[in-house]
Amino acid sequence: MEASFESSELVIKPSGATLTDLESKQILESVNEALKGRTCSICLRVSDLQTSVRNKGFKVIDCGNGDLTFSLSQSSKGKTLASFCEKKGLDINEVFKIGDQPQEGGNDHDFLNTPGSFTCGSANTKSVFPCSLGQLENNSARGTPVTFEILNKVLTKIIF
Amino acid sequence: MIIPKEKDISPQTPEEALELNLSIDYKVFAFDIDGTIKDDNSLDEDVMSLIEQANRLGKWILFLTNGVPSDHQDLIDRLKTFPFL
Repeated sequence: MEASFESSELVIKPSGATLTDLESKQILESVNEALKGRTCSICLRVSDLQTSVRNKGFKVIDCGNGDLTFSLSQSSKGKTLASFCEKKGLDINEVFKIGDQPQEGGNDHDFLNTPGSFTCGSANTKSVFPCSLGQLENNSARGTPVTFEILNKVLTKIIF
Repeated sequence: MIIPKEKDISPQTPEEALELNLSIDYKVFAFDIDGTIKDDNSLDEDVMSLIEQANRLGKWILFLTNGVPSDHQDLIDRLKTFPFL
């Protein structure tokens, strides 16, 4: 399912291809209800949408590129990582973690808010984690080159 | 008698957080790969290079994504795009 809203330029691409017609209709009704008459920023819309659809069993994730992912699954990267650590007897703080969407509602938020977490994007969070190389060095570079740089710093234990 | 509380060693600034992060002896390396998967299910070449570098560490490496394989065979097909597996 894919939906566009002329007034907001918001494109919605629910994850997975197995939504039933009824589930798709429920999502669209929730989104229409949340967006009705609103002209606010996308951050506020994400927040509104999350509140609006949470009770209906859906999860809204900000993908950071203008897309919102709607998911029926209660799984997440954070829960998956926590489950892995529990099975292996590891402390989650001993895991090097990196992603580009750490902001509240972002699709990496739930695993990038503890020690050992880095972001190759902008660390627009209330917490000191994740560490952002861009924020510390006024480096506007993003993505893979920054990930390389962070990984190299970790591996060589260079503290600047 | 007032017993002083144990000193809070939680990082208070981004600089302290970075210093802590760089001092950790990491057992596992977890990478978000969302946004790096192309239409044919292969990974961006730069990311492949990064993963190969990380793979040489000899430690657990996790790839985290919100992508949903449609079935077991789909999962196997996606994993085949990693040349070192």
